[in-house]
Formats: sequence, C-alpha cells, structure tokens
Amino acid sequence: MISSSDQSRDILTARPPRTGVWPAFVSFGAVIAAQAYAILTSPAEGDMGHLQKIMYVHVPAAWMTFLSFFVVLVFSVRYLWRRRENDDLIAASAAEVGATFNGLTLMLGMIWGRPAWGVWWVWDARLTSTLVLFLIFVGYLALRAFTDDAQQKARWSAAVGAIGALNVPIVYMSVKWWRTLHQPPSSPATLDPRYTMGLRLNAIALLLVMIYFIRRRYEIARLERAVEHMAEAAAMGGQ
Amino acid sequence: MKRAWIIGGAAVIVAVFAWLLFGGLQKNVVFFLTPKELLAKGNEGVGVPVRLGGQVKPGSVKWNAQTLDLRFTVTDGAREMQVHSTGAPPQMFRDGMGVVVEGRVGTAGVFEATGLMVKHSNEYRPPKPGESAHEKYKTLLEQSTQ
Amino acid sequence: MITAASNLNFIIAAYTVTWIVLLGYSLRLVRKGGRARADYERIAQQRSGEKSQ
Repeated sequence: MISSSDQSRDILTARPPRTGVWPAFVSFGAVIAAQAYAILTSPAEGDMGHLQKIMYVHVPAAWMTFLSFFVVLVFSVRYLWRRRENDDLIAASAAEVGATFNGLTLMLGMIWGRPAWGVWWVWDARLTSTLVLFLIFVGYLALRAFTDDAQQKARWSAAVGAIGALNVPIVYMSVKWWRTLHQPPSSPATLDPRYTMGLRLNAIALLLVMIYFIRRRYEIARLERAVEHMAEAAAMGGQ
Repeated sequence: MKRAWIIGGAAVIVAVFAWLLFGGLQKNVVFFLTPKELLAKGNEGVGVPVRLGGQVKPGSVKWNAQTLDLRFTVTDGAREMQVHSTGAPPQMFRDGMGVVVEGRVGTAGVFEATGLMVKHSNEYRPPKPGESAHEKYKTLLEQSTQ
Repeated sequence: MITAASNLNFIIAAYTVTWIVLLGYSLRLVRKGGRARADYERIAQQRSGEKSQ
C-alpha cells in the first residue's frame, strides 16, 4: 500500500534528469567562435586601440550578471507566492551563477580600467554599486550555506534575493543618475557597426553558457535535496 | 557557531551598506566637479582634496619629457582651469579627451594634481581612413621625443 | 608607464581570466555533480535494500 505521503516523497526523491554533455560543448564552442570572430574582425579603436577587445568579455559578463539576478528575483518571488521547493532551488542556482559572472565583471573591469583610465579601481557610483551587488549575492550564498532548516533557508534567501535584485536597476542606471568615471552604456548609435556584431555574438554565446550553468547547478541542487529527503525518510523509520 | 557566523555576516553587510549610504557613496555620487562648479566654491574650494573633471582643452597640453612635468587646461565649455601634474599620463590622455584629476587647488589658482584618470566616452569607432589608431593613442612620451 | 605594447598583456589577461572563471566554474559543477550523484546512488540503494527485506 502506498500512502499519499509516500507518493509525494517519491516525487521529492525521484532521480532528477541529467543534462548531457552536448549543451556544454555547444555553449563553450559558441564562446570560442564568437571571441575568434570578434577579435579577428574588429579594427583597432581610435582612442584605445586593441584594448577595445576587452569589451567582448566585460560587457556580456555584466549583462549575464543582470540576467542571472533577474532569474533570482522571479523565482524568489514565485517561491514566496507558491512555496514550491523547486523555485527556491532555481533561484539559488541562478544566484551562484550570477555571483560568478558578477565577480568576473569586476575583475575584467579592473583589467580594462588600468590601461584605459589609468587606475584599477575608483569608488564611483557604478563600480561601487556593482561591488555592492556582488556582496549582496555573496551574503545570499553564505546565508544558505549556514542555515540548516530547508524551509527557513528558502524563506530567508527568497527575501534577500528579491530585495537584493532591486540593486540591479540601480547598477544599470548609476551612470545616468550620477556623475561617474565609468562611461554611460554604449548603443548601436555610439558603437561602430564593426564592433556591434562581435558584441552581440559574444552576448548570445555567454547567454548559452549561463543557461547551461544554471541548469546544471539546479540539477545538482535537486539531487542533493533528494538525498536529504531520503535521509530524512530513513531517519523517520519509513513512517 | 553557525548562528555566530550569520550574525557576523549580517553585521558586516549592514556596516558596508551604512558606510556606502552615509559615507563613501555620499561623497562619491558626484565623482568629480566641473571647473565651473569648483570655481563657484571660491575660497572654500582652495586647498581641499577634490576631483576635477572635464575635457583637455585642445592645444593646451605642455609636456616636458625630461622633468616629467605636465601642464594642461581642463574645460567644461563654460569655465576652465589650469592643471599641473607630474609623471607620465595614461596612454589615452591627449587633446580633447575627457579627464578626471585628483588633487587640490593651489593658492595661484592652478590645480595641483596627484592623480590623473582618463574618462572615456561611450563611443567606440575605428580611426578614419588615412590615420592609424596607433598614431592616435601613442603616449605623450613618444610624441615629445620625436 | 603603459604603452601600446603592454596593452596586449591586458587583453591577454582579460581573456585568460574569463576562461579561468568559465572553466573553473564548470569544474566545480562536475565535481559537485559527481559527489551528489554518488551520494544519491548510495542512499537509493540502501533504501531499496530496506524495502525488499
């Protein structure tokens, strides 16, 4: 006889599907191809010469940071609304991937800033707010790491994730609202067409990587959670 | 143990936010003053650490490669200010470029810079036919020794 | 002083850092995934063993 509670536990403990290796090859291959295309086709820029090529990694990394934290926002809100475990795990996966891209954006910005501006770092509104975004999501991940109770973990991190993601528009608008050393965003009007295509291709390629990362991370999170549920069931003596 | 970690982490984050909101960011929301704004401060703007930003006035750059002495004028279109700096500037520094200088206004009204940063625009374009990028962004040091 | 020649070092540094982060995170996923899978199989086996008794 299978009781209803056993049924729901079987759903929680079912083996999650596993993404094959081909999405990894496709997304990483796309990044290699996009970088090669951009590096080989773009001419030296008038002011900064070939330093402009750092744009193809720095700018898409920043966009993927924003996108990841948008995913965190959506699934955190959905968790608070529906209280489904999977929404919490998706938000957490996106937060870890987003924090990775956020850290990458900061490092690439420093590497670009030193030769272009003459300084590795300044405390202007754009750089500071981007660092704050990183700290929020490091805090989010630390909160999860140090909270044992799954429900408490989900509730607290959903609150932090939803509120923390509100910093994304602040980061984006910082260069328009305040006076910064960092320049405002470029647009097709301010970007030579010979740079636009390379930037778009690199953004699409990195988007594929981001989706792959979040999916894989989410599968692992479900696997770990299934182990926890099974261990709990075992501890309760199969009640 | 874990509780201590959470409380400690939360305290650090709160402290960072407080510092950003009331200290660091407050001061840096306006990262630099334009010559017009700095001059409008009158004597209050003299001798205090401040950042000045604007455009390098075309034709104003005087660079001495032997003494590493750099003089130029920063303009915001309305007012302008003379700047004195030492050491080689960033490679993108040139006539007409955006700059932010750190330092203080001396008694003679000349801005004594301790730091020089180039502020790039959001425009990215290759050089026009006939000029090479290399020519445009080579350093002042190279220019002056030619 | 930073010259045009040393620009290449910064460009190489930027692309190197990018690939270290991308591959480094992939490696973390592979390792973490392997551990999670092993844990899962171990406990799932224990469970099916208990059920059949």
